Amino acid sequence: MNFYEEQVVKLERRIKKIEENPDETRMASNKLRYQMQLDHAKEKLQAWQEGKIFYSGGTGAYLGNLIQAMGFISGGADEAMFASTRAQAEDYLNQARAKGFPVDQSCDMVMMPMAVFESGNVPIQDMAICDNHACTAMCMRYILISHMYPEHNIPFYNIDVGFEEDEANLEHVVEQLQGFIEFCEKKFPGKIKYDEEKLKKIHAAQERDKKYSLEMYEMLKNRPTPIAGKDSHMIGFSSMYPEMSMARLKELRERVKNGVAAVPNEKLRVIWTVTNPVFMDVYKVLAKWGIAVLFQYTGPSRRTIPMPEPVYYGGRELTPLEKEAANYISELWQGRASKWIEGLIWAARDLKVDAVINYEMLGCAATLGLSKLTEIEVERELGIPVFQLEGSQWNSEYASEAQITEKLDEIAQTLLSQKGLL
Amino acid sequence: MEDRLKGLIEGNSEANRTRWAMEWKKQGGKVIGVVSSYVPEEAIWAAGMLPFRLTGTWKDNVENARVYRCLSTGGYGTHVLESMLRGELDFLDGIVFADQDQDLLRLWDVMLHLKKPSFCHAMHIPFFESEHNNLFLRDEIRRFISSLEDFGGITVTEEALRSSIDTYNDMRSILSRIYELRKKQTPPLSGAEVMGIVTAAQVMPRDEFNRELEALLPYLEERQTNLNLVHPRLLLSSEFLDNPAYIDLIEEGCLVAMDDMDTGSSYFDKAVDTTLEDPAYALAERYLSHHGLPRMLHWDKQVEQILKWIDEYNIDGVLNLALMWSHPQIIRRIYLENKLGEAGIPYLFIEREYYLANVGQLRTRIGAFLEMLA
Repeated sequence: MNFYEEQVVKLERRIKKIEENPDETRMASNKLRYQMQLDHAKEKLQAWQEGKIFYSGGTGAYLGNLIQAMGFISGGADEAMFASTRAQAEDYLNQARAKGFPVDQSCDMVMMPMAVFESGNVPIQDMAICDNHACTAMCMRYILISHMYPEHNIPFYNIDVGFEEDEANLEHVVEQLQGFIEFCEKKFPGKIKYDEEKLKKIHAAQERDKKYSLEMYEMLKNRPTPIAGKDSHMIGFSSMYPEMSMARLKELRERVKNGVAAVPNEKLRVIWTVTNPVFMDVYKVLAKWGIAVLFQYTGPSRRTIPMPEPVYYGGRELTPLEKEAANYISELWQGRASKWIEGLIWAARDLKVDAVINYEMLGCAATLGLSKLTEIEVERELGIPVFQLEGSQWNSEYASEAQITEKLDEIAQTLLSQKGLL
Repeated sequence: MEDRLKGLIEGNSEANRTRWAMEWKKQGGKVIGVVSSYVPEEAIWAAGMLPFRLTGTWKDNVENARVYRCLSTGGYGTHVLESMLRGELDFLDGIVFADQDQDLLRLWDVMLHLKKPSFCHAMHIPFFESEHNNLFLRDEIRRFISSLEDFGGITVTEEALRSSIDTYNDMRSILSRIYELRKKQTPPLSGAEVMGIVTAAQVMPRDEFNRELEALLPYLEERQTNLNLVHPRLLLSSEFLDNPAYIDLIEEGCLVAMDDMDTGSSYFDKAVDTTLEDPAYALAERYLSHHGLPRMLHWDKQVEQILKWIDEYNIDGVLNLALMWSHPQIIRRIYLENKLGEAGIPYLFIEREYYLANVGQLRTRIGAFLEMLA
């Protein structure tokens, strides 16, 4: 079975399980999310069978709107990676190692998709973008793909992004996006065509979804919080499924009204940063101590929190392509430390959290050098602790579930003790 | 002459490397630390300041830097920070970074936090060459020059920039002639000595370096050496490798006859085009199109150049001595290995620490590789 066929089976099974045995601690609207993901997997499977034009890149979260407005179908190795089971992930990691990809010497999140790509479980992309929007390793991964597979003849387009948020960088990216459109239209005549009206509609839909997302974000301020742990990942990532956002919002309003807690006996609230070990449920470990993880602070978080945006373009109305470019350079991992830290302090203050857990992901060039600065600045500005937790995203050999659990238990006890709650 | 040569070869040794910088400061000049060979040093030299490539401590103890940089960050940045925190770089008036690797940007962030030194500038270097990117980098260079002007209370004229470019082009030309000598069956310099010279160029006043090396060229052309071995001949690929002890170790069993390094060929490859109207544009064009380090997009061109060198320098094998957690080198490895394999060139990849470490293990692995070449 290829990835999309597997997804169909998996999601159908998951929906059935929810229907038969609902988990009271999770949101009921997740069922709708799975249903939509199921439809989505079926659509992609069909598109693959029909030979439609697939796009993949490290830029899915950033250029997704533009790609959609041009008529591409997004998909590929990253999508399959994030849907992997633990056993599949280990299998992919071993395959990547066997083929000589530096899983353990670089970043496993960046290297694992190489094995997915080679497995044939996802369509070979018809178009790929190589860019440096997030981190060195991600950029290198796409350079590697662009050189390693001449047999697939994948057209690549390269986008360079500066690290400063200023007009010069905005202009720099916009011009390249224009070049990208031109390049793709020539490459896929009659199949790919930039539709600015469509992009405007996507932006309008996103604005609407952002309002839903912000309302959800505001609900995090309730004590106890109605949303935490795995469910908190969905804040800010709702634009693909507006119906689900609406359904979830209604459910959350009910929860707030009835004082339903996402974490029973909530005692303390924390923000989790960077990424997490996806082979285990870290939130459950903390929840058993009454600690709720309210919010995941990651590279794209600036678009999720209601922090005032820096207006480096003079406050004028941006064109649709400029909006895309601004989105690109709002990425927090790619910029200066101050960009990352200021956003985190803003969210931590706004949500009145008791601590931050900073996940030090093995080999993460974007964030490892920020750990201590984050700790110093957050403690200085807010007087709350930042706990450092080491691990990788997929590779449980580096820091195992047992080791991470032990460390989280320690963190929980320290924090509760500091607050006189132990 | 041999003593003068030794003076250059040992220019970046722990004992000597700050000698010229201190003298420069005595004369009232400013010294600007350079982190990455992608920093267009010509701008600093044109501002009347001394560009000084930062070498980190070669000692293993980095307890002060470890506070800010965990084990899986790049060793070069960690050791530079350690030197900074120990006060060994207190003479610097400023530091300039280029985002050769994101890890270096994070080092910049720490330096900004420490407010040490007061002038701390970072530049974005596009990761491939195009007309559009040349223009972007030109503007980055202009901004860098402006910040140097503000910092130094000076004006950098176009004439000064052109003159600086000429000095650097002279340096590139002389170093190229040294590299030509490496093609000889018995070259006048070992690989470690060549790296000593290139890294000396990165800390000395560039005009003084040029004069000194130019004066030594006739001697070098005739120099009889006591090289351990002149065969097999290796090409060494690495980044942030500035400790000649590593090359001494390798040369226990071979000759390092050519390199693909930022402290070697990449530093001086390709002159700036002085016929172009805008010197800042000419600099941008050179920095994006010279033999690139693996952080640059066009790996095919990089490998093409390496294969050309293999032919020109009569190379028997390639040793890729990558710095741990240096993502560009580590991720390019598989492509380089495949391409060299297709060309029938033996290749060995080893990860290393920044300071000289794991000597026994290195000796064993390199020894086995050299045995295979023999």
